[in-house]
Amino acid sequence: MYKKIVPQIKLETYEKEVFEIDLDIAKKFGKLVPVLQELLNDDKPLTIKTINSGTLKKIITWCTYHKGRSPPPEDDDNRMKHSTEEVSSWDDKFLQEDGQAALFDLISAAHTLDIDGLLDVACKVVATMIKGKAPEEIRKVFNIKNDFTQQEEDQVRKENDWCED
Amino acid sequence: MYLSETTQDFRPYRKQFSFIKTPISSPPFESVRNAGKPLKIGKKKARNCYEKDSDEPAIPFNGASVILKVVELVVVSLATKRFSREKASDINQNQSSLKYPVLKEGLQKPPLTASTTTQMMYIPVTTSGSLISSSLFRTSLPMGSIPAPMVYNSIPGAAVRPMVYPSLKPVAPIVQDFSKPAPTPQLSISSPVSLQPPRLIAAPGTKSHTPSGLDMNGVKQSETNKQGQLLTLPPAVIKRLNLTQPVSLKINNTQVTVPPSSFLHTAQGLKLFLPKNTFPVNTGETAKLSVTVTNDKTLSLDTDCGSGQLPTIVPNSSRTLAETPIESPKTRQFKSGINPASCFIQSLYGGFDCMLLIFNYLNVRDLFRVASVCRTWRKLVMHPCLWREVTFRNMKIADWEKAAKYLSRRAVEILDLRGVSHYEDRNKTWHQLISNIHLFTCVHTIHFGAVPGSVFTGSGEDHTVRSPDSRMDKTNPTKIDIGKFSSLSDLKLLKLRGISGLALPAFSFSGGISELKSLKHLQKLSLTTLKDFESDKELEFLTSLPNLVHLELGDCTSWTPETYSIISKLTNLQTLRLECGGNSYETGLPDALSNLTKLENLELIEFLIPENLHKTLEKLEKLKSLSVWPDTSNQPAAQVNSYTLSTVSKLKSLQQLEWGILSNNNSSIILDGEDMNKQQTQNNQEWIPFLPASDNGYDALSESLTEYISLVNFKEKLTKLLPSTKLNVFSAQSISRKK
Repeated sequence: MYKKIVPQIKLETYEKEVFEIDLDIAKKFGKLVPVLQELLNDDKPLTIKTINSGTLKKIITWCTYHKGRSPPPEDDDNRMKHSTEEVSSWDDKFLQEDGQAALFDLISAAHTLDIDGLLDVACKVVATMIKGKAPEEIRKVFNIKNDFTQQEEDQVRKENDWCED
Repeated sequence: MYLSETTQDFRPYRKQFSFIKTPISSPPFESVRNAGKPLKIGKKKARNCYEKDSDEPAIPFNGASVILKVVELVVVSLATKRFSREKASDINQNQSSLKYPVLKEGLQKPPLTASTTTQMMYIPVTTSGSLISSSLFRTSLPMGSIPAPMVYNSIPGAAVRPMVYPSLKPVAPIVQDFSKPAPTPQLSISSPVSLQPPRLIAAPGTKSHTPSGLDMNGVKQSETNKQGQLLTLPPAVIKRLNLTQPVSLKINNTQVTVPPSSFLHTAQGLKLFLPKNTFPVNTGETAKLSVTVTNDKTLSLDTDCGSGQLPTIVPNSSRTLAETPIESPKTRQFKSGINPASCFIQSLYGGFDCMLLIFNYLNVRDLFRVASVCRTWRKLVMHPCLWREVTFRNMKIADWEKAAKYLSRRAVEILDLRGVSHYEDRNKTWHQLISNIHLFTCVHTIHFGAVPGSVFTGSGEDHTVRSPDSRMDKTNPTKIDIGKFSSLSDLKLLKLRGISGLALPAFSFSGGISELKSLKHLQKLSLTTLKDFESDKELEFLTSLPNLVHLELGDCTSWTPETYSIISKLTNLQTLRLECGGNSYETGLPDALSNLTKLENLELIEFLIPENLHKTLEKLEKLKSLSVWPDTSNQPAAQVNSYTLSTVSKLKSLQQLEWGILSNNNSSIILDGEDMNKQQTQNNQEWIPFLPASDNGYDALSESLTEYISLVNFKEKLTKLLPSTKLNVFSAQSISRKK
């Protein structure tokens, strides 16, 4: 029997590795949408130097997993609540399993390629890492050096002391 | 059950980021391709035939039919061993290609040792005035075929005689004359050769290169000429090139793309016709030339050249230049002159954008903590997009005055007080907020959430939000003096709703609900759970609200025909929602609706729909959507449903119909044993009682004849009856009788 031919586009990563990506998945890459047709006709991969192979692999995995799942409806109420609750456990595990560097690469790549769903969910995961933590804890989580002078730190605290838990 | 009416103003946060989002660089692909389109013979876009980095127009048009000299550049040989090394370094610049250093003015015989890079000789050639019949110019040249070059007599005024190009053959011998060895291609040339430097050269395919704009002033096209240079490539190089595609040359730092129409096949090999001044001539000074010839600028050659072999450029004849994306930012040509792929600063702003997206999920308290992490984060937290709306859910505010001052500095527009935490005394928090609310200078919307009624009764004059777009969204005061809102004269939306109903105080200083008539800007009014008030007198104020287009009222249980006659005066209404219509079919509803000619949306929640309502609704031309939740709690459900169905099924022009099936467990429908079993086995299915259609019309008393339709079948039935209407049938919870 005939094998179904899935239209594919080719992307080349920073490591010059060429990936073949199904059209269904490529459609989620908002940035590529305007040029998809041209890429389909074209044999040559599109080079995206800012994305490395590992990240692109993860993006493809994520998009494949979410292909059949419709995104949660864009709900204004959810936005207002600053909700980070609806990150599924699969997403959470998938995004965090490779450590922070991979996660931030992924966010950057999702931003570059304009993949809304992935960008949202990954940002939520990072927001969860920040939520409820004291400044010192946040610095520890992300290895940030405190570059405030004592004076500045006091000032920030003073500005914001009207709000308590 | 409760939906905030203000949502239309809250764009999702992501949209606010649009102005800092990285511009998508999709257009480049298109423009590249357009710029690189192959020339079509006979078309008048000749100027683009050569793409150069410089602004110099491709080939200046020379109206005179004069040729003085022909210069030929000959690639003499190439040594390959060092090539791979050089090329490897080139790959980083995306310039993977063959490299042929060229000696200026043809002084060198290239050494063939492995230590030197490939050599190319550049040999000036003097030609005797070679002439070609002007008729040759007019022959239309098929795409891709290389015409014999045409050369004109160099002597002005000389007689023109035809001559074929291969007669220009002095190249090979001359090469041997320049025998001075060249150790490296970076050669300094002490003196120019005695030969005249080239000034003019014949152009192949002149017709195709003739810019239409210059074909003027009576200059015959047959006399037109191009100035330029010829570069001869040796057969060894030609073998590796795909001659059906344009060839890219990199000469020093200049990129030249040569379309196939400028290839000349000669006995010495392929000659490329180049724009004049491509190779520096007549400089007489030190010249360092490196020439890179490649078929395809973006072809990756690094994978198969490790062995020191020249990479093989595989011709891909199926792809035309028009489809070939030119990837390298350095080599891309854009008509606009801006190459988004070269917008390298773009890599700097993605990070902040993502950080803001992350911070967007944090609430005020977390933002404050983030602000004290480090300086960069503090600056980011100040971004206005994070402060447009502030939510106080689960937060305790120690000092509302300070909060108000801070938040107005951040230009907060929307306050969401729903779920705010309190200190020991709820009322104290609210009173402190209310007394400082004037400090929120930029706020135009406040969601109050659940507010103790005493807050409003106590401070009716203070909670004015002075902004033309004021909205107030207050839920759950049980007994409030609605008249106090009359001081908010800019209010556009007022929505009051009590979980267990709203009631007016028995006595009020404000003058009662009718004082709302001073809210002249009010557009939407929702008072849906008002209980026990004298509707016919109290609602009179509605007629004095000129801007009111959206009205929601309830309960209508005690409404009298006089109350309905008030509604009938509100002829500007576009949306009307009435809840809980009571137990009687005989309301003034049809009469009231008949005057509302601008009505677009009608919602009758827990209403009994009179059988004759369709006569009124059919006359409302603008009516687009109808929501009915037939009230089956007090009348036989089968009868109610049947009447409703008979009414709505006649409204063929409806665009949207919602049918809410109230799931009343205490429904009076008696199910016989068989039906009961059915219902139990198919728990997921709703069974909707209907009266069977009979010749005598509906018989309300014959319950034994009640037939039950499953929700699915009911939907099908409705679809059949109203084929052009968007249907939504759902089961709903009774809003008035829920516990």
